[in-house]
Amino acid sequence: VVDVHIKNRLRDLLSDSGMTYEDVVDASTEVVIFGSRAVDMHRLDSDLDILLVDAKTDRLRVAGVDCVILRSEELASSLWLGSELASHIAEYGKWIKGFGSWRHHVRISDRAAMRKQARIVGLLMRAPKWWSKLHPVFHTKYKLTIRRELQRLDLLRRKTPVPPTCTLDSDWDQHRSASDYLLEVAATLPLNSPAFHFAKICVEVSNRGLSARCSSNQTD
Amino acid sequence: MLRNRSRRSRHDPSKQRVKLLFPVHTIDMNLKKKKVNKEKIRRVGEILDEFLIGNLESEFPVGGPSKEPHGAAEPELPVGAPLEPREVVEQARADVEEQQAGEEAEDEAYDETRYYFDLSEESHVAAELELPAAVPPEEPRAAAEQKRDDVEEQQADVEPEDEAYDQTKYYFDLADVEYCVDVAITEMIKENLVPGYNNPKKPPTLSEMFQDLFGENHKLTKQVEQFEEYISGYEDQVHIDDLQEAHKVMSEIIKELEDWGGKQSG
Repeated sequence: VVDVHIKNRLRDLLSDSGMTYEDVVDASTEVVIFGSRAVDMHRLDSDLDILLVDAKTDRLRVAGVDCVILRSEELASSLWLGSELASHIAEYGKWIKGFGSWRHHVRISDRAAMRKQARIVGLLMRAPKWWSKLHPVFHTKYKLTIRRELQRLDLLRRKTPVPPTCTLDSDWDQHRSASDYLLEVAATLPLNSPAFHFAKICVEVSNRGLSARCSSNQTD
Repeated sequence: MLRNRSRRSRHDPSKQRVKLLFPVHTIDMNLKKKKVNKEKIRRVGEILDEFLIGNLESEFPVGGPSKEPHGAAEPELPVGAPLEPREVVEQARADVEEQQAGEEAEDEAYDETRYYFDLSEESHVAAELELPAAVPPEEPRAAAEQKRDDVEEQQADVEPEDEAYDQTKYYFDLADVEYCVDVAITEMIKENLVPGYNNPKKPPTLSEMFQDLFGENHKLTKQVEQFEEYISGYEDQVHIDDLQEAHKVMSEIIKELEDWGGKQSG
């Protein structure tokens, strides 16, 4: 159940964009908060992640709100039930409206892990081409992204729902997620040697604490 | 900040001029608008063109077909000797026939595209409908059926390859797009084109930079937000249609930046 603070936060953000809480919540059959705010581990500038089911609109543009809109028939599809996002919401989501009966059928699919693998391979294989053209602030961003994605891939392969990014960072900074172990995960990927070298750079021990310094780039 | 302040003081109306209400009002209203350096705006447009559009076009199949080749333009003056009235009519008829033939060809091309995208069911139906017509009437029915089975088997073999091909062709890795955008932002940072971004501590987005350049509600800022939405992708992949739209929006932004810079400086 969502606490009053989150509801008020949503109310304020919608109001800032000229909408009312009722406009959005009443028009949907299911409303779920997920991500860092759902587990109360958010930063001040964290977005509010929200799932709307059967909303009257295809998109909702509200500053400070990251919105996923689905139709109720999509909730029953194997694509959704096997996805990383569905497993995250089923595990960490807080329901404002609806019951989320679909969450009992969620099972992380091999496809979800394969998609994550493709994402990491894409980032790593292309990094050598672009790296020298990027400002150091983007080096930090990509190191952080790749390390987080490796953590997520490891969880998805073990069929474990991915927690909010802040929890991944906290695990990393407190050495609960070992560099050597993440390198082993990277070693299972189809990478050439420059790309694997980049993976090494991204999971170096010296990168611990990076997430605290680079507070943006939260993906959920 | 200090520079703005001194500029403002230069325009501060004296008490005597305050009595002239209209000019004073105009100046006050103008001061509320964002002061933007025209040269820098022009340069932002150039960077987006070179590093964003340039990289997008080299990495993805976008922008190509919409652009007319420079050599394709029709000559402004008629080439050759002036035509006689009868020749003119014949020429006009020939032109119309050519145009009709062109339209028919376009129609056929459109149909092909339609069947290509609709995939399995409709293509099967089309194949089944076409096959009997392709068999000569005197050919025995059994032979015709055998032929059809062979074709269907052949199609079944080809289809999985087609599906795999389609996916690769229409969905692209988000990583390439992300790197392209960040390289363009890096160039803008390097040249210190947007105040406050010379040494960022967190990675800026294009829309954040445009917000600071033009203001939150400026048309260009909204267009950049639209561009970012197109390239945001789904499940870390971006569809070619969205890439095309993103390319189109960015081209419009660049055009406006060029016009704007040109107008302002001229």
